Amino acid sequence: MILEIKAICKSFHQPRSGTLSVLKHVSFNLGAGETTAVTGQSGSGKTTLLSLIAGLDSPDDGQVILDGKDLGTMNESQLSRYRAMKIGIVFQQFHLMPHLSARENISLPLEILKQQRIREQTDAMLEKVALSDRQHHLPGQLSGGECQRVAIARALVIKPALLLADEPTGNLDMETGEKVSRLLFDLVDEEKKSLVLVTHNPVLASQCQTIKILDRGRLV
Amino acid sequence: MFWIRMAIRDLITNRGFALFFILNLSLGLAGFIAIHSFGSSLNHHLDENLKDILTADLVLIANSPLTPAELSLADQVLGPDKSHARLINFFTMVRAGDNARLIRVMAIDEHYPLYGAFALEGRGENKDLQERPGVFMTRDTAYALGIRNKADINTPLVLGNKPFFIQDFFTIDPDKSLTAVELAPKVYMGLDQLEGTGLIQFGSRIKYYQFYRFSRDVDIPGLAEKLRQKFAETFPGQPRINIYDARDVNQRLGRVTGYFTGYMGLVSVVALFLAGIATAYLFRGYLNLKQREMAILLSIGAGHREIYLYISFQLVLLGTLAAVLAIVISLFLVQAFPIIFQGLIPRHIRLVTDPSTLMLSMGMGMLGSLIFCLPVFVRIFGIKPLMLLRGTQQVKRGTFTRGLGQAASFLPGMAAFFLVSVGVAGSIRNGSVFVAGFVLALVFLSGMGWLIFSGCRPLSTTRNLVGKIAFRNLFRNKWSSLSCFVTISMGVFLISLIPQVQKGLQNEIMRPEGLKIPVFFLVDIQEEQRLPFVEFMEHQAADLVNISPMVRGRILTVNHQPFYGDNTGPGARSSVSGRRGRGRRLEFNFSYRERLDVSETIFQGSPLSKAPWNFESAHPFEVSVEKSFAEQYGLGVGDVVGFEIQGIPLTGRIKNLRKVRWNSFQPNFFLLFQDGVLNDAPKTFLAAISHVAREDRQALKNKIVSAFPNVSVIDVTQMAGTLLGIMDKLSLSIRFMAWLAIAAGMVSIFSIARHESWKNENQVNLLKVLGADFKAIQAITLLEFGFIGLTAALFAILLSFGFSRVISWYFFDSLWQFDLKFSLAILLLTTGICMGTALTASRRVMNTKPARLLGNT
Repeated sequence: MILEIKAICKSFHQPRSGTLSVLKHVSFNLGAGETTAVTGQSGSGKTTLLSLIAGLDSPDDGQVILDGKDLGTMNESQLSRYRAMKIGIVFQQFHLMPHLSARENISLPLEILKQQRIREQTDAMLEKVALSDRQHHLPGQLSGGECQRVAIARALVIKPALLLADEPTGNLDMETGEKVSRLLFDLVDEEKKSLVLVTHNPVLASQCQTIKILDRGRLV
Repeated sequence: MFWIRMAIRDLITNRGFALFFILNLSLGLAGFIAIHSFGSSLNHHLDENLKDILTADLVLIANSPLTPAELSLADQVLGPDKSHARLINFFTMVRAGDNARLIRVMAIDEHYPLYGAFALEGRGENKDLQERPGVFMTRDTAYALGIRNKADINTPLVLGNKPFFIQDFFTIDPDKSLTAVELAPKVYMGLDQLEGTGLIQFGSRIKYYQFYRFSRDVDIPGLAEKLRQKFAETFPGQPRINIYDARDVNQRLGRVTGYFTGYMGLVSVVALFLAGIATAYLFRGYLNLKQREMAILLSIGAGHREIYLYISFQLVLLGTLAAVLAIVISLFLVQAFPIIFQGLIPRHIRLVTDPSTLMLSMGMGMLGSLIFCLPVFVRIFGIKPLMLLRGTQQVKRGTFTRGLGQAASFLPGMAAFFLVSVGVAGSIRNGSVFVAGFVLALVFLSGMGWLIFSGCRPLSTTRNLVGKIAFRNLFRNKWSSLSCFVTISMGVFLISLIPQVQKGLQNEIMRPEGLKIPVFFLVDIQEEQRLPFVEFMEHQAADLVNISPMVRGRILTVNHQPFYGDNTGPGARSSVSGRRGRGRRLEFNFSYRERLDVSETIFQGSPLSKAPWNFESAHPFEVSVEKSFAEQYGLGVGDVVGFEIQGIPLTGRIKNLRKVRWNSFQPNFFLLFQDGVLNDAPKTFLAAISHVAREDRQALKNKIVSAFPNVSVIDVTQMAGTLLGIMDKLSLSIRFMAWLAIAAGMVSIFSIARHESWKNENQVNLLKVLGADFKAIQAITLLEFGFIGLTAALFAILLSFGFSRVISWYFFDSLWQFDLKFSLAILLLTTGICMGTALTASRRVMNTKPARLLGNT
């Protein structure tokens, strides 16, 4: 099992409206190479769930076990390192470094992790996302689809055990969105990665092996 | 290496920020470095040339000739292998043909100087002066005496009753002590030639010097101390000889420039602080811009530690570059100091930026940028990659800890500010007063700001859309408005404070209000000359004023404790016992007068009794003491002081403390006695002469010198001209430093206004999308920032009035003058800068297409 979610709960204290429970005893597992989509209405807790899986936030209760390790037992620094090695994240708004070229954005995680053969790995990934000819362009000079392809390449270049995607096509037009999603699933399949995909889009969700629906903080 | 590469690349990408940061910090650092560099160059020069300046290793100075017993004791203590030289020094009048003027006679023996030498134009030698009545002087002095060409060279120079002739002209004077503020030029003559001049009379202010030079390696300070002890043991009672070594010269010269560089230093601290504020604001804007990028880096595996190092490296790099630029700027600035201090410091001073200055600059650049930016820097703790996920709830945890951390982040800056202020002010007291005033101003302005922005609530109910939105913004974003208000007002406060203090000080020095400056000041009128002199003046077209008796004497005790003794008893006054050190004053001038001069006012206590004191009285007589003298020696009203006048012990009690405006150039005294005490004591007189037509001045001077050769006539107008020249230079440098601070302040205000207006970017976008026209958005921005700028400047200027008044009272004896023009200019400039900057920053947003404003990167 690559990911085990065990009865996680998360609530937020709001000064005027009291405590808001966002996730209530959510549990599920994800095997190696499996893909799952998390869907639900706005405010159902999808993004919060994603942030807990990514270790960007910690649950009030329950456990997130990634590749056999409980994220709750790690400190911030260990978590950051573990996340860097095990998880790739694709954001809706791409979040590329604006002053780095496409190539440099892709190689950035490898540089941070001080890995070997950065050039070869980056070249290979650029080729996979078909951006070799645009590798020296800055994000501002790329289209939305190209930016998201760079973001996918950056997430996969470290060969993570788990890929998390937050509405990866939400900022793209339909045609570009389809191309990007096809690329995403092809690469996940090719690299044998596990994928948790958060989306409102039923067509995109249907491409995953399983679909989990969140309703007011509970899996239904 | 990767992070370094990233950091440098990032700075290159944001080169606007980087350049502005460097320029701004370097502006603040430059003045500070220039002053430090000058100070250390001066110290270095003094250390290297102390013996040349003193012309000896050690010198004994007395107001009367050294006795054979004293010289024998000195010879014994100082040991063998030494040479010695003698000098007698006093002021007198010299007459050449129809010209007479005051000179300083330097009567030297054949061994003078022991270090250094005369640079003479001709072949003159010291021994010529001993053999015949010749003098050495500068060509300038000769010119002033009417000796302007070769034909005049044989004009006799009459000193007292004896004619002298010019032996040679010197271009370099071996006596390198301060010259510009001296009353008169120096004229060297042979010691033996003094005989027959009749210049040395009772009451003449003459100094006798005995110089020593050692040909072996000796501990000179140790020997000087040993000599002081031996003199104290062998000749008990009040010491009458001052013993100086090179260290004293250093201290004396250091004191002259110390006060001034202290003031300039504090101004430079203000400039540095203002630059620091601007730097922090610039960095804040940069960090806001970088926040998302940091979150991205964190999301792909970078740790907070790496982010801190990444940002710290950028700050250190910018700080270093700022320091380098500041050093370059200071190299130009420091060249101005020898011109400013011409005559106050030794000539040919070599200005060097020594390693300590370089280290300090680099340290201040690197650490300064980190310290200034620390309150902003700690915000990196709060950056989480969570912010990259859409719709995520913001986690508010550890608010108290973060708040505490945020508060603590200001402490290093405050500590550094305190330490630098104390260092520059040269005393913990003055530095603490400076910092305390600063904190007080911060508290006052914060309170005022809070009241102002709370008061914006009713204003926001107006029907006018522009007013409604602008005042609502100010009221609802109270913290943001307040931080902007406080920073701008602190900047304006500091900017406004300096010229207020400077103006009062400058005006007082240059034009003493309500005082009539005399034309001549007369010294050494003998008692028997008094009546003939009064009669003589009755026949001249001039007024003789303030003829004042002067009696020399000593202070023996204060409240029955020895004035110079080892005063360690329970009732001891530390400041009195502290005067036992080197360089103390041994004799003082006392006087008495029927009523106070217009230049005098009683500061504390009551006037002296009109009734004459009776020698048979069991009560002490009444004494009036000048305020700064009382402060220097720790004297207060009611203190009982023991005097010795012409060998007679007398006891007085301090009745009042007086403030004297010395720049009135009237005969004034530190100590005035009750009538009846000094009336029968042998005395000389001082006087002033007013109302002399410009064209009659030289003739009158010549007449006085012919009739009373021993009386010295000081040309006050000429001396005031010299002093004004020095003051002009000093005030120029004060103004320069003030403008440096103002420039730093204006950059600071610009940075703050720009940052705050950028924060409004979203609102401007929204208003534009909702259909607000360009003019309405512009008006809202102008009103909002104009209001902040105007109120901040107004309260800051009001506060600066109060503070400058207090500073003037505390440091400069209540010299204060309101500078309306400058205040109005600052008020308008600040408001204008705030409005202009906000408008420029908003225009960038306003000119952008709505599609781009609404889109994502």
